[in-house]
Amino acid sequence: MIRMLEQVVGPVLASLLTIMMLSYIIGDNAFFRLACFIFVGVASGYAGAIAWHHVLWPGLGEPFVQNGVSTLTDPALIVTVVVPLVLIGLMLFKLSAATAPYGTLPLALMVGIGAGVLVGGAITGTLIPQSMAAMTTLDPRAVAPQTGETGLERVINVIILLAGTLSTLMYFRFTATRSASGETRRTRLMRIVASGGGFFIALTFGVMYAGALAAAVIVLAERVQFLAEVVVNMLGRL
Amino acid sequence: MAAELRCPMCSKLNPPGAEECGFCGARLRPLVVGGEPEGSRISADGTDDGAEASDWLDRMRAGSGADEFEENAPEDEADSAGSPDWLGRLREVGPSEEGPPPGEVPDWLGTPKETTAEAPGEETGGAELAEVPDWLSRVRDRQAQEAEPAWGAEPEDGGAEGQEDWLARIRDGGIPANAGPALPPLTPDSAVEAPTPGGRPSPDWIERGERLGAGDSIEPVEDSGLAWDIQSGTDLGWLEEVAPAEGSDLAQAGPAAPPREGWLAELETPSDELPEGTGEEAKGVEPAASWLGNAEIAVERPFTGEDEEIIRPETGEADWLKELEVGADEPSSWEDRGQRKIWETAGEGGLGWLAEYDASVGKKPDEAGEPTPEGEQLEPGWLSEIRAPDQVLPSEPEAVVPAKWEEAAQPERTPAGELPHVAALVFGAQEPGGGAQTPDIDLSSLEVELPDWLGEHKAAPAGGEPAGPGGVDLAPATLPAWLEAMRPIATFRSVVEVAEEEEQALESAGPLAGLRGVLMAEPVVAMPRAPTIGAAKLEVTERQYAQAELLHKMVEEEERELPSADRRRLRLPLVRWAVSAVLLMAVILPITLGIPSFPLPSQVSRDLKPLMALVNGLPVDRPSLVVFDYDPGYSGEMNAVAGAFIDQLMGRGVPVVSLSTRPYGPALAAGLLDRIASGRGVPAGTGYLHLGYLSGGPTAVQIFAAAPQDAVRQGFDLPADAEGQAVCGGWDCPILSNVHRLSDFSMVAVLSSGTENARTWAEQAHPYLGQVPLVMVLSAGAEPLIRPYYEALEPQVNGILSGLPAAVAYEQANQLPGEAHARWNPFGAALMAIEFMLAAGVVYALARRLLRSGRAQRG
Repeated sequence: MIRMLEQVVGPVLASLLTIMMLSYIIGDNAFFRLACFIFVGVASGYAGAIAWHHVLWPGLGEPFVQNGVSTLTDPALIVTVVVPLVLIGLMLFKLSAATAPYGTLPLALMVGIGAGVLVGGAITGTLIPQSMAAMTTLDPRAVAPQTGETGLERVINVIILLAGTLSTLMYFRFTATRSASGETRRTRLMRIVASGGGFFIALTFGVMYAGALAAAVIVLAERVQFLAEVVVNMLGRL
Repeated sequence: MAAELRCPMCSKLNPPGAEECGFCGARLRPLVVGGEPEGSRISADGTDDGAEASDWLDRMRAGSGADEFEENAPEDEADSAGSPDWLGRLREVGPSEEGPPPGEVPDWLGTPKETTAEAPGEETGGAELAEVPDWLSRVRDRQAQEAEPAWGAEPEDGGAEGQEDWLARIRDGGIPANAGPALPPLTPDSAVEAPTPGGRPSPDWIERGERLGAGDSIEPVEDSGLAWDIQSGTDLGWLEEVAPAEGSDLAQAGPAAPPREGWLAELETPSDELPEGTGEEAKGVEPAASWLGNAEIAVERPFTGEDEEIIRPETGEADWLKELEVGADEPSSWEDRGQRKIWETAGEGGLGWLAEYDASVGKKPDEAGEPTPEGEQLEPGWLSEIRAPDQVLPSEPEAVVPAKWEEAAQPERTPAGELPHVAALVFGAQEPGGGAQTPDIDLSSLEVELPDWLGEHKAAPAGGEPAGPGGVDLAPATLPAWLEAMRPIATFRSVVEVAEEEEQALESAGPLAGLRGVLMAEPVVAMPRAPTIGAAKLEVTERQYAQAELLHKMVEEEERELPSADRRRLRLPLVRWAVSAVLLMAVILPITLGIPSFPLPSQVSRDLKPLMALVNGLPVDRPSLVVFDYDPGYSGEMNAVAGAFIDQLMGRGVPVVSLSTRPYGPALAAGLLDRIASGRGVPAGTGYLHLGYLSGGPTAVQIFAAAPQDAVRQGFDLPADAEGQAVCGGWDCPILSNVHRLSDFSMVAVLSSGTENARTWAEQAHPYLGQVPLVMVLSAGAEPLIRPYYEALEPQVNGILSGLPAAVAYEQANQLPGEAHARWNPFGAALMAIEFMLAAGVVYALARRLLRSGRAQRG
């Protein structure tokens, strides 16, 4: 019975929700909105359930229940259970404007630690490696480690990479000189280089948009294929 | 029966007629002119009225009904610094005793003019004459006797009460011989020492007037204070009291007598008789009496018998009185002489202000060849300010009518033996026969010297009503004229409307409770008034003005009611429908009908070979970590791309452990892995395991990279036995038995639909990976930003798989067709449709531009 429900009701409901979402083709309608509300509600509820069952209860509730009062005396549990509970309690003060200042400590910890992690990771994981990657050699004898490119092809690719990187950086350089007429304008060379950077930026965004469009087309094909399978299954069952 | 009076202070009843409360001593009746009983006034300084009874001006203003004046002027008042005594007295009188309001002329002042126009007979011989003081009556009687032949006509007015009036007696010609004292020799000393019949000292000018009689050349002064007294019926009996005692000179009588008597005497004294002893006389004699002496001379003018024309039988009044009434056009000889006498004697007698008055018009006595009186040293300071000819004085009244005595300010050489000319204090009078003699004195300059109630005689209408039968009809509760004159020009009120006493508000609180006519402070203090100082003007530049205008326009635009927008005609989204239809058909046709069919990629891309080599080289004893960091919306793409990758892993027997930094990731991982594992026959718990959700974002990724078991405590959708119980709890599962850190995994594969999650793993996990390869399975849109991590000389990403074409190539290379192959035709058809539509759009745009340019060229 349950398996039947899973094989019939589930795909049917999914098909209906898919059709409701696709109804937006003819315009904004109640079915589309209903499907949106259902997805938002289900997603939120599911996220809350996941957070409780996979984060809060295993991390804080279960140890406290299992160890009881000794949780407050065990140093390890104090660090891993009590302190997080206190921080969570302080965070709850943010619910009221009158008591919001008391929730600043956990918020400051979160923001500070998050910022430190992100900045540190960006410097060590992106800025320095990518800068080093841009300063690659123009030696045609060099071979790309991943793609195996070498010779003129690699030199051209390196030149394009270098030109793209420099021109893009120049595009975001807004320092300019003031002319005699009072007009602030960049030099001709800067304008040319910056326009090349704009071209690279536009090319990058175009590729990203094309990838997103391709992903949407794949999703559309998957949904249509799903509907077709459901229909076939329903017809086959009939 | 008179009602008892209730004290306004203690509210106790007092007998009728009481002036002061018998219980608390407070005044029972307000200090209102007209309603005040005689002799009941208390000056502002607390002195009794008797102490000020000698102030003739106060007497005149307090009420003419007083029959007698007592000479009780305090000696200290004679020492008043600078200012004339009469002005000082003015300051002492209460607010209810000052002169009439502006526009009203006291009858004693306005009568001469009015009587001429209205009823001269009544005024001259009427009720006012009944109140002529006795001394004047006696003087007139004596002169009448001497000048009896000159009186050719009887005064026809007989309606006056009190036939003892001096004028009446003069007219009657029945002045007894003993009415005045015997005239002493005409010496300066005798001016003060002449005894009076009553035993009281008589001013020397009275004596001189008596002595001169009708035959002397002394001419009357029209507008002297005495003339006013006569017209107003004021009792001037006090003048008899100020007559000097017999045998005393001015120096001796100086300290005792008020100074004004001295200058009154000086007025009477001819200028050639003044040099010696004048100064002492001026100090010892009160000035008011002195210049009034000249006034008396003016009064004596009708009795001189100089001509008979001064008596008009038809009107019954003297000619000089006529001049008083109408304002003579030209001064008579006696006026001229009298005026000169005034200037000369005024300064010597303490009336420096009067002497300086001449100077105010640029004709000082000394400049005109006249001897400068020694009394000039007594000039008050406030008069010195008036001395400046060019000084502009405030509160210049409208339509100033020069006074007669002002016009006669031209000093003239008085012939020897004659008394100096004394100008009559008559406003608006023209000297008879003088014709177009213009006044030499600006009356406006005198306005500051003289009280306004005196100056407003000029403004009194000719046809104004005469004074009431009660004599002086001073308006009660009027601001003092000197106070009016001190007002600012802007707030000067030419006319003060004073309500009747009964209509005035009754003070209900405070020390003035029960009094009427009290000046209320509320209108001045509490009532809002417009600021006298103009508001500061803003100085704005053109730019500021333009900005202000712009802001004003914006505000107006916001306030303007927009017209209702026309309802748009419902337009069907045909373009949307068309595009949707094309896309749906492009997707549906390959799925349902298999057309169009697109060839599979014949070549494996350059990126797939390293990835395939990497996957093929993974050890099977170590699990591979697959991170599901994509949204459910991208599951259609990511499942197709990642399915080929995971299928290869499972096909090779590599254990797969899933993890997700998104709440929905575990479910997606479970769905995909379960489907692939079921197809491959890989058991859960040993072939694959779900670690579940890793909360905390980048920080959690770093924590997981550093200590995986501390970051994730339990798994998701753990494998269960037949009873449904979990076989293992996650980290204790056999698949993770050898995994304690991130580098214990054989590979870390990140399935991401976006760039953020992929970059986070590349940044945070790369330092902990060691030799463990990091593979990125990406959506097509995220590839451009992740590829630099792959193509670097020291790549942070060891393999990349992105998009459906790469997935189809990957499946084809592995000879494991999966979802990617199933979606290849719809994907290709949709992309082809999109390309056609884009091309059609470009052609349409170009054609439209060409058409427009062609129309523009033709047009």
